[in-house]
Amino acid sequence: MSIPSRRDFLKLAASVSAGLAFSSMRPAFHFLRAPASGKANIILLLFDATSAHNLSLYGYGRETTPNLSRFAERATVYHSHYAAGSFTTSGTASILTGLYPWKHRALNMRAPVRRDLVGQDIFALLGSEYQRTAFTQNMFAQVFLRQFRHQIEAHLPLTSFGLGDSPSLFSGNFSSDPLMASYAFDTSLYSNEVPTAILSNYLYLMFHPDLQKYQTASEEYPYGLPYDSYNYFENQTVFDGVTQTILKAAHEASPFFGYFHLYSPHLPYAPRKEFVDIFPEIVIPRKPYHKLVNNRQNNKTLLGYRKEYGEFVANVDAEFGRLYDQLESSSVLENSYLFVTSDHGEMFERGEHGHLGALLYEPGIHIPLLVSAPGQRTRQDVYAATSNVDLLPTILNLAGREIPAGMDGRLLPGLGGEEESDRSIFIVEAKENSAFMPLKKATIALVKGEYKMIYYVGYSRVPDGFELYNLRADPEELVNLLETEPAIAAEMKRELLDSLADANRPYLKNQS
Amino acid sequence: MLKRFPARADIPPVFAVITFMLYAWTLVQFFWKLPSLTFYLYIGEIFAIFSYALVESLFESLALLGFLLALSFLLPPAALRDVFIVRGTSLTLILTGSAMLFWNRFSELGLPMTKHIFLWTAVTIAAACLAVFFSTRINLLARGLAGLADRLIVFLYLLMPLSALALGTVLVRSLF
Repeated sequence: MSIPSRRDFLKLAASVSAGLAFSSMRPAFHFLRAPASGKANIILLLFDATSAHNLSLYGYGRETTPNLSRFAERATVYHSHYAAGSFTTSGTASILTGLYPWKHRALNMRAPVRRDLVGQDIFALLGSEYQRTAFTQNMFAQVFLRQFRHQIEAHLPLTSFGLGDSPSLFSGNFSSDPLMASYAFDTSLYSNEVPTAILSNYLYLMFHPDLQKYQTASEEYPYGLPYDSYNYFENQTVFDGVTQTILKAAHEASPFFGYFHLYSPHLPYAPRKEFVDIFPEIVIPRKPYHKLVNNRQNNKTLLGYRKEYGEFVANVDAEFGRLYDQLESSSVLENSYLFVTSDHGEMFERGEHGHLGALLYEPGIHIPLLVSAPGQRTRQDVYAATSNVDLLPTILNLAGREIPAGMDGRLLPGLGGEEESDRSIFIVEAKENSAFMPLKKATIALVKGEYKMIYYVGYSRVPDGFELYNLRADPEELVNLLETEPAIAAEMKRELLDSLADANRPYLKNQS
Repeated sequence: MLKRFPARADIPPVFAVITFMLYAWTLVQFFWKLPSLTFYLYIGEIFAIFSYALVESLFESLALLGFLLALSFLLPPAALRDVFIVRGTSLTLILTGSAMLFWNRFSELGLPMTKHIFLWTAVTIAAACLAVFFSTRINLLARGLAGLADRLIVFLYLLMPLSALALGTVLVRSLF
């Protein structure tokens, strides 16, 4: 496996940029070779922490995503698409394995997936027929790329497109065992973690004393620069890097699969100045505080965060627009599937901000999914509920690969699957559980048709119990129908508890 | 040229102080993270991480010892070589203690702490100079430092075999 170095990448970026500077050379991209196998490229572009509820594409009151809407005109838009987990680890693992979190067991922050799933992941299942490229800015997602590294031809380092002062990942020196080395060494200086290696980290800071300059506001970045918990970056550079990586891969004879997991619009919300204060005030329904919220924020604070998030989403959308234009003008989209989605959403309600809590309301789990097929020219809309666990089987199907038995996902409607109005979709949040034990403390949501049930179990602050909502009649999830819809509640309760019992069964023997 | 280095018998006590300080820090950090690691890693994986941490401590310890030996080589013999145990121990305690305090403060303040790093370093160097100066002039202090270094040697018998085992583990995992 060869991993391009930062220097290799910079050489490539410089040469392609220079090429683009000469407009006469641009038509060269129109002669991209179709893969010799006749198979289309597959590009999975993932924006971290993107809630469908804050995208104008899905009806948000602020015009945050004009470019996604433009892309939607030639794509299939999934309107009821769900993350399988509520934060990066569990949500991303479900994308890469096609399994719900209670099966892949990446339940905790920075956790890996079950070790026996290595070889059953998206990279391995696609096989070497595809040139597999992977890049993430998220340390939690990096854990999986390190687990699956033997099946990735080009794994771009996490700091590939970061600013020059970014600390290098010490674990990168242990190419045969990067995952364990990462757990031992990789400390995020930006999140105030205390490193194990105190002397070497002290010396590092001695030679980079001005790192804090990135945290402070500047003319270009009034809220400070974006950072991914390991390095500061500019989205323009990141998107340029991803675009050039795709264009280069599209030149190869073999089809390629690209997994690009970008950090924005994840916290901290750091839009460029042209996106700050661009949106008018809108009316946001006020919701009651939830007892499971740890660090309760008042409504005014949440409205402020929501505004900044919208601005950052608009910034990311503008960068996506540039990427989309380049892929379109270079004809890459003529022989590529482009998936655009997220790993989880973001909460600005009930006292909760972010995505690390125990709540599974819609803003935290309802995410975008748009897929453009090669040469697609018209928009399709799918309203049936779908899940990120569906991505892997769908991608395997598009690649002509066999779908292993036991996968939770199904083929996405419009891409080999049919719309199922009564499909059951699960979302699992269980970061306070051991990965090796039955789930005893968790929040589990079941979406089925227009109904959604939420189950809380094992929390000391709220009794074990259920909530039931009709998402069509009550999209804000304000009216609990548990008492007024007893038949539906009973049926969904039974299904949810049966599924939880099935998921727990392999781990019962581990209980003391 | 070898005469510019301290006597062979003077080196282990100072190395013992270095390893005690750096390994103690590593162990505290490791055991602080351990409960969360048990949630998602197998015991073999946790031992692997522990091995990496120990090896890192070993290398930092050797680097600091090398720094002290280099100072001993460069400075006049009376400055460090002839009183290597006492002054080496005091230097080690000041340097590692300062770094520990820095990171403790850093965990509260984060990157804004970096703007103080030159001042912090200057104060540390000044404190180290004072410690070096007084450590051999106050008998009680000199005897205390020498006694401490002598008693900490026992940890070398525990930490060095552990580190050798850890180094072997890291080499095997990194090479194969």
